[in-house]
Amino acid sequence: MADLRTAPVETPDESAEKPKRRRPLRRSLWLLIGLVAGFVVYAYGFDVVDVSLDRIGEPIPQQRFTRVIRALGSPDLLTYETVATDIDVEFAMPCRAEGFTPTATDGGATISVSPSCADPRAVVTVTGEGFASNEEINVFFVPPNGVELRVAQPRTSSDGTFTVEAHLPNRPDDEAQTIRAKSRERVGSIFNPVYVPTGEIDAETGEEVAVRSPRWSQNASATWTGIIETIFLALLATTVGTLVAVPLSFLAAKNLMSDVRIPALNVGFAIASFPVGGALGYASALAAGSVIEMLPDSALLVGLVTIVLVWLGIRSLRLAVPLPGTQRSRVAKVAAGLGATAAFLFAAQAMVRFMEVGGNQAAARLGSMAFLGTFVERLGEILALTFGVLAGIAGAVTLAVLASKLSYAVAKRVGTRTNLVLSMVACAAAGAVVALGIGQAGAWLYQAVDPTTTVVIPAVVGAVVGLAIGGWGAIRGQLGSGLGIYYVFRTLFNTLRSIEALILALIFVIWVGLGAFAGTLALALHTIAANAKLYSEQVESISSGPLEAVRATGATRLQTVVYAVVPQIVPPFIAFTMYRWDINVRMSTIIGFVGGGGIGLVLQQNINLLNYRGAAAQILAIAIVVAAMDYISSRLRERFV
Amino acid sequence: MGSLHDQPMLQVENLTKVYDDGTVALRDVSFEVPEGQFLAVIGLSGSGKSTLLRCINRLIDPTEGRILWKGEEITAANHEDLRNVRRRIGMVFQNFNLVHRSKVITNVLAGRLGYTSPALSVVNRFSRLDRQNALAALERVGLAEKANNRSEELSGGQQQRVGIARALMQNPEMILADEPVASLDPVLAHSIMQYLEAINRDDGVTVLCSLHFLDLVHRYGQWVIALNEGRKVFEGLPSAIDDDMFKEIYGQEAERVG
Repeated sequence: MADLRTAPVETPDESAEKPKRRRPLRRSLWLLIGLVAGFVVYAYGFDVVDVSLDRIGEPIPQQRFTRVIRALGSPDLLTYETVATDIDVEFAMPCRAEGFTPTATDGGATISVSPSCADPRAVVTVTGEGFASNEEINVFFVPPNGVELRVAQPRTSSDGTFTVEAHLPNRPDDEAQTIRAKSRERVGSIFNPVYVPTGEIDAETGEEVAVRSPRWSQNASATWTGIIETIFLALLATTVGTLVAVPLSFLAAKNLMSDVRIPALNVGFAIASFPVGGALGYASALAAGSVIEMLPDSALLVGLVTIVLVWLGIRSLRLAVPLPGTQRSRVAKVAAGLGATAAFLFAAQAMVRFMEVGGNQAAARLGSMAFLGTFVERLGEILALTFGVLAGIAGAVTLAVLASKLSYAVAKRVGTRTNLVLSMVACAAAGAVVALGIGQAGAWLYQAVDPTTTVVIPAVVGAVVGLAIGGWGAIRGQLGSGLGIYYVFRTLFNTLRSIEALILALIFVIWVGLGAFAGTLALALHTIAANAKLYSEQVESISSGPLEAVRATGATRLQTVVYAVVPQIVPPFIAFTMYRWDINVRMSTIIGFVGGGGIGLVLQQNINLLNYRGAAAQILAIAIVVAAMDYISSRLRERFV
Repeated sequence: MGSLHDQPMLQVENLTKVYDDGTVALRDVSFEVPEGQFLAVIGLSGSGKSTLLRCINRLIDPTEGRILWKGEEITAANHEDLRNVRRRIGMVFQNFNLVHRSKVITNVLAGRLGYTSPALSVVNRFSRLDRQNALAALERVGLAEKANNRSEELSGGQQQRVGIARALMQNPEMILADEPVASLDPVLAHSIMQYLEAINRDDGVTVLCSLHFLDLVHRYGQWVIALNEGRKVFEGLPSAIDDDMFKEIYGQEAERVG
């Protein structure tokens, strides 16, 4: 076989061979300057962050630290019933002339005080033995009136003894007084729980109420509620964020958008028809809604209507979009298409209504599972709220596509000069529409009411800019509108992404009030921006070969995305979504700090109350959930990628 | 090289392509392809072969010049017309360009997208006839039993056969083959070229095929055009390429090896 490729002839690259050598003196000078600069930078850094290692070793901070760490080591999860035992020993204050023999009253444990009499405000040593190991003991000084004044709070060692110095109060008296050690002994253990009668009588059964010891503490149940809220907050935010981010990410992918070039005429027509389509879609959605609203509140009836409408829609869609090979007249296709649109519009409204009515009625019957019905009802309500907007967007896009198709037909019939004029007019209208939108937004933001600044000036400026762009595009042939869209979305995502979810949560808390809903909205918005960018980078990194091949078959842009792009991005998209859920779980643990609901709220309260044992429970729960999420998400990623 | 019709299938007139970075890929290239011809396009890497083939179905927009396909000016087509042109021109690539994670049958069916309504194909719906034809196309390239495998599980030669089946699904009148065997070993190269030859001979499909190896050109090409730095330096019968011509096409340092 004859290989035609040239035999490799080496031509030495001269520029690469050129030796780049600095003189050694200059090099060491640069090194010295670098070292000095580094020294200055780190010195300044130490000063700014106020590094003071000596503080760590001081006794008071160390005690505080120890207290907190010990509290964190024993999280408040269980409540024990306790049995108190008092062990008294007689004591004299001040010491008397005649002899005094202290007598210990008993249980199994004994205490002794040395010395057995003392002056007011003296320090005595109290020792005890026979207690349970590692138990907190309260030592009181009890004057004759019986008031218990705590003087020490030792903890027994492992052999059940303690020794503690007690600072006595200023309570001299002639009668014998008492030093009392109170031990509170826990009843029951995790593996051997007991039921302790409370003394209360249940009104219904007439039996005495007993409580389990140990049982979950109040803090434990608050932690449980918080962590469940946190997990679902993260789940909802990730789901909603992903659903929005995936389609938007294609618009922010340069490789898909950069070759979208459209004739100026089409751009002008499409943008100018945008508000018309939006208004049409919105109005017809409302109209359909008000018709469906006339149906009685019967889930059965509304459900039937929905099914019939969907069936009608599918039938007419089949007529409008025949399988290849079937011939049908254009008029019939358009009519069927309009019919299908109307049917689906009504069907969608009927379905929303069905969800509201059916969900409500189901909730009334489901008893403890009522939340399922309520969920459907709520979903219906959300859809009902957003339906007008969604229909508006759909209408705007549809009309824009149709306008673009129309302009292809127009361009074929008219000459270059007419095309130029038409393009300029259409783009002027489009520019005016866009500028009016911006003007109205500005009017809302700054509460401007002067029509000159909010209507006239934007319209004129927009029209002039549009005119110029239209003329330029018509002469050049096409407008790189894809790149325009790409930059708009990229900028949007980058701006939104730079705002931390915590700050977004602050805004949403002001808007919808304290609670997990505000947190969900904040995380969802952040997820949209962050993931849309990550996704679009994934789309940009796909191999372009299949894209080219599918495009070469005559596939439309949508088909190319579905057949050449989507199969390539499924694994990384799943990986990123899992990763985002992981991040969102972590984020939602602290989003409660600003009122966004979830476990963070409980944690913050405990920290503010200096209840570190309580906070420990929440920290433990967060650690377990984050670790579990990390494990699960990495396993799932392994499986899918 | 007689043509049956008065009008050639493809006319390329004064085609020039300058990329955005200033690289001139094609300089004033003109030639005609009669219907049913097997045309070989040769030249060094970077001589403009790929750019030329991609200009024909407008995967790349040429800077200047006209391309007429069956009398229709491709260079002036808007993107709706372009869909109609592209779906009748199959394309086979050096790197096969299959969607690796998709099934073989899905890759073949993708050849039908130009004929399918976007709304239906989005939900992965092809007519029963299309599915039958896809299986028949796979049968023809001897891969029917691999229809439900993932494309990445196939060897290079098998992947290129799927690429050919995909082109066949378009019911093409012309096939553009961009170095279809450059990534394959010599034995497989002949097997792939024989499929293209059979499509050209039995179905009367015009084939434009860029090639590296001169013996393949001699064996399969009916007519040759040669490019060097974007300029057409030779057009004629494969047998007309002698040693002088060879040096002109491939440069003075080139040697025939093998």
